[in-house]
Amino acid sequence: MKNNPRETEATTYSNSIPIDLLFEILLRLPAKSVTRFVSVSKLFAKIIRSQDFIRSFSFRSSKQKQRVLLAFSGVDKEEGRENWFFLSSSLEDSSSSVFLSTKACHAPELRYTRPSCVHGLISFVYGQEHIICNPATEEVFSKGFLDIYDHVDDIYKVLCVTEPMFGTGRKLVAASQCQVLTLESSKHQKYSWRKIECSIPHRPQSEGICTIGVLYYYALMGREIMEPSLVRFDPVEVRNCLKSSNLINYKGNVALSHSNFDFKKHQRLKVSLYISPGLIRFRHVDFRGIAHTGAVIYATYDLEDYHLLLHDRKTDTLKDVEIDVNSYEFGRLSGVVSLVDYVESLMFS
Amino acid sequence: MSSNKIVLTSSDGESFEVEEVVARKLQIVGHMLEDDCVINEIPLQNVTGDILSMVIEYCKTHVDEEESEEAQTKLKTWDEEFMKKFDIKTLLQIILAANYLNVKGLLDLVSQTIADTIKDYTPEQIREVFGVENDYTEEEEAEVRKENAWAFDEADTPKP
Repeated sequence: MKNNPRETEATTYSNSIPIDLLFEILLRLPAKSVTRFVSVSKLFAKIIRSQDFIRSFSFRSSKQKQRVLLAFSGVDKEEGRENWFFLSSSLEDSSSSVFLSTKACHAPELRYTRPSCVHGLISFVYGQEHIICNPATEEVFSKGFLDIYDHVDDIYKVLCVTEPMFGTGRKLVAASQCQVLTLESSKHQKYSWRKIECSIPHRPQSEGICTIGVLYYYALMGREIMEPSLVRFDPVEVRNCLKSSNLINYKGNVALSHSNFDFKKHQRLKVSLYISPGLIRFRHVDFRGIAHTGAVIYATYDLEDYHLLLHDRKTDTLKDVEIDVNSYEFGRLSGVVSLVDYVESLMFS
Repeated sequence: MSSNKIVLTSSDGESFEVEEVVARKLQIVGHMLEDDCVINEIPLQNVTGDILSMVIEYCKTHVDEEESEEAQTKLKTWDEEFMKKFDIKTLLQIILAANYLNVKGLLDLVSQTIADTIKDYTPEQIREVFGVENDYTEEEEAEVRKENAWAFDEADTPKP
């Protein structure tokens, strides 16, 4: 900058950045920086912890280029524990990988398993408990009997389906009990579970998939809790939120037959996936999801590196995104999971 | 397009003669022109000459924003190079000017550049640059820092 008599005046001027501009600048920072800047002043803390800011932050993150969250599990034999490392990477350019955080699991006999990710939060199964944490802010939310969680309109809801313990009797008519917890952004909040009426007895058999605010999962129901069905859980109309339809074999396709159930709003696409010849050279490929471009995302892990393979089904071309995990000293890796559509969230920060 | 010239005058009396299409990139000027089309000299009280000249340079470059991918990439590269010239204090003056003059594109660009510049700053550096007074008591500050201790880790990668 030029040195001139206006310098002093100009400096004072820059000292008064209006709040709306400050908001815009903070919104463009990584979660880690934002969390650090809570310590700047009470005004900064007030802006950053406002509902408005937290909402805008994850909205902005979701409008950015699609990202993948990579969760690596490494065993630390000396310490006798398992560590999970979180890395976020762009689908187009793996050089933009950002290391997010590490979580240690101190009891190796109880591993963190089955990570799943919804709108920036990740959940693990830990023994009989579920743990929800935010990889962007290193905050662990809670331990509880959480089963599946869901995200609607920037409100996170956790659906917990607990199963009664059965005796040895053959007829198991007892149904699972459903409870819902609404998560707030502040970690100082007290949470309470709300029991919901479950009109149809059922037992969940799979993880849930959340789309347009509605959660779907596979469950057993019917009189003897034996019939395979798809359950639709709509947290908005919670009173009668569970509806079912049966999985049937329709002309060789898996289809859903349904009564009293309107699927119109949630059109499902029937996609048949086939493995492209280009994929055969990889020893093990794992279907991970669909990219915004429509390409199918597969993941494969060899001894050296982790690859995301984007298969464009129209042109039958394969794009290989190699993610260099060896530049980080993770120790011996025992598992890698990639979770598509990761967005940064400030929940619990 | 009109090749009408307009004179913009800064708070410290510096004058810039620009094409009307360039001046219209400053929405504040655009609105004035709509209200009364015969103005050809506009005083801009909240911006100094050196900052105004930079805003004008941005507007001249962005005067016809083409849709083509090639043109977009070229502009993006220009934006990056343009932003590299400034230190954080100047960036903060540009953001205030872009806000006052209402130049949307520049406002976005400068906000992102500021964020990229300050992302590794300590809270102390932020206070200094933004002229913010620390209104926490010593205990309160220690408490807030403790809660967010992980965000202060310097190492970005796991330690060996």
